[in-house]
Amino acid sequence: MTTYLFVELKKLKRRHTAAAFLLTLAFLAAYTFWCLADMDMERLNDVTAMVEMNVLIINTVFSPVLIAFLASRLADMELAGNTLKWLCILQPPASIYWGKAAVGLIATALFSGAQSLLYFAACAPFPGQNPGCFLQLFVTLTAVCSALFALQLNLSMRSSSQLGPLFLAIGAAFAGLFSWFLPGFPLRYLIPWGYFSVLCNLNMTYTESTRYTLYEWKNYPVFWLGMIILFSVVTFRRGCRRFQAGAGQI
Amino acid sequence: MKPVNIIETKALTKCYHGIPAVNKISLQVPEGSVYGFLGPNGAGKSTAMKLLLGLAKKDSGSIRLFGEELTPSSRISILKQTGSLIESPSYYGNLTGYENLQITCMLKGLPESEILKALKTVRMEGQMNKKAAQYSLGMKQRLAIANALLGSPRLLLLDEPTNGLDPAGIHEMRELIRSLPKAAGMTVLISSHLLPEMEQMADHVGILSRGSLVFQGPLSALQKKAGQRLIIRTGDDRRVLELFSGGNGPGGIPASSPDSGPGSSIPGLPPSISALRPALTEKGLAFPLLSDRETGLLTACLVNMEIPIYRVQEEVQSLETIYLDMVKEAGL
Repeated sequence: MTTYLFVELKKLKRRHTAAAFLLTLAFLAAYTFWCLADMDMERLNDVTAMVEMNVLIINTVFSPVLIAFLASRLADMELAGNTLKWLCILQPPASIYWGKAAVGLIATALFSGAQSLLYFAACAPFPGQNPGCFLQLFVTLTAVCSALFALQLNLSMRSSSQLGPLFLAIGAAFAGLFSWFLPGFPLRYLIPWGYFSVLCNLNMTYTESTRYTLYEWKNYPVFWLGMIILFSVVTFRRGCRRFQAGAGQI
Repeated sequence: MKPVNIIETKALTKCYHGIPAVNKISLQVPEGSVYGFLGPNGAGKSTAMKLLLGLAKKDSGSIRLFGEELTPSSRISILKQTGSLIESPSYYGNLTGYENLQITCMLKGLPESEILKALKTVRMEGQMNKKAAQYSLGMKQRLAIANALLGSPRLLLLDEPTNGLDPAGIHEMRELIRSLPKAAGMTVLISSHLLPEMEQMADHVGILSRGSLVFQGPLSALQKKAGQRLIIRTGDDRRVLELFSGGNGPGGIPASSPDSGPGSSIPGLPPSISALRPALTEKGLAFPLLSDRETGLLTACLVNMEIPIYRVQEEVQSLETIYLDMVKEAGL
């Protein structure tokens, strides 16, 4: 399996995928540090909570597009170069699919890890009320990004043009963003793009008269974490089966 | 000693929407040969190649490569001993020619030293550091062939490998393919719809028409079928046919032998000519080429029987005509 993973990584050379992730991270870092520099400590009770919520909202907008970009890069190089048939002669079709899935999972884990480290670094001078928040953020980002990747990979592997999956990701990112501002609305539980808000274990109360924001940590929603992980597993398995059927095995 | 078949299929069948694309074909590709897989467009050549490579699911029949049954579990290990080019060249445009071949080396577990060897064979060393997306179609085709040659596989399956090559490239490719069995001990299965190309490369041929194998054997056997023949146009071809088949024609010409079987003689003709079985073609009755004396006897005999003769001509039948006749007979 490691060979297939290295082959996938080699194929991604000059595809600018790492650059896209690094640019997003750079933007996130710039935004976070700008927020902290501009912050009035008197007007909120927990800096780490504020940063986490910001990180999750930014991820709701950027991650679906970034993940769709990665999935489309992984899929279109096979379609453009007519390489799938050739690959199916040299390796089992399932390994092609899982090679791509592994690349995506590693990328999302690294991206989430880097964001969590950034979060940790940014919040180090401001001790918060929830010491486990860094790990929780990492788990949330990895789980949701993996689910989005599973969905986008399946779409991209089936589309001859990658514009469709990319536009879908842009539209879905907006749906995910709206789900933050519609409390209790079931949309966020029904679409994977809404799970950045579903897995956010924070309550925010803004008092307009005092201009004070009160953040409260809730228990981590383990049930919904399980749901999104289950969704990823089912989507990957279905995608692999479809891919194998398309490869027309003997 | 009986030659060993490196590819052997038995009643291999594949249908699409109930229509057979490959219909009970039993291929026998001898080891060390260049086997030309011929057939018009849509005859089922590519489907057959895909079946051999496990890229399509067979409906019935069996496939044996290197003497081993091709099954889902044995497929990858068997196919790692092959090199192939199916339909159009496969490449990663963002990678250089060299990097493209590195991918194959990684998947086949080959040392990278094989890459330069393969690139030299197809004369691509000069372009190996250029991105494959910038290659011309001919160069992409060469890269795909270099890819197939990596690790000197025992069996090479090439689907229309000269597509996109210029005349010099085609000539070079032909020379390369022809040299592979001797130089590298490879067996080559090559598909094409161009007979002249096959004539110059292959030593064995299989002709596919409407999914069925209509001929298979050494090229020399096909060439034997070709050659010169005598065409006689008469006023009553049917009577002549009946005469030579030994029966009583509508004109009441009796066969000299009552058994009417082969060897029955026709008055005025020696048994060697009486035994001939002419074929009815569009141009007239086709006889094997006869000597001047025999031709004289035959025409005199027909004239004596009051069968008008309009034309007697020698015809050189090309391999192409034989091929087209076979394909036509099969219904295409």
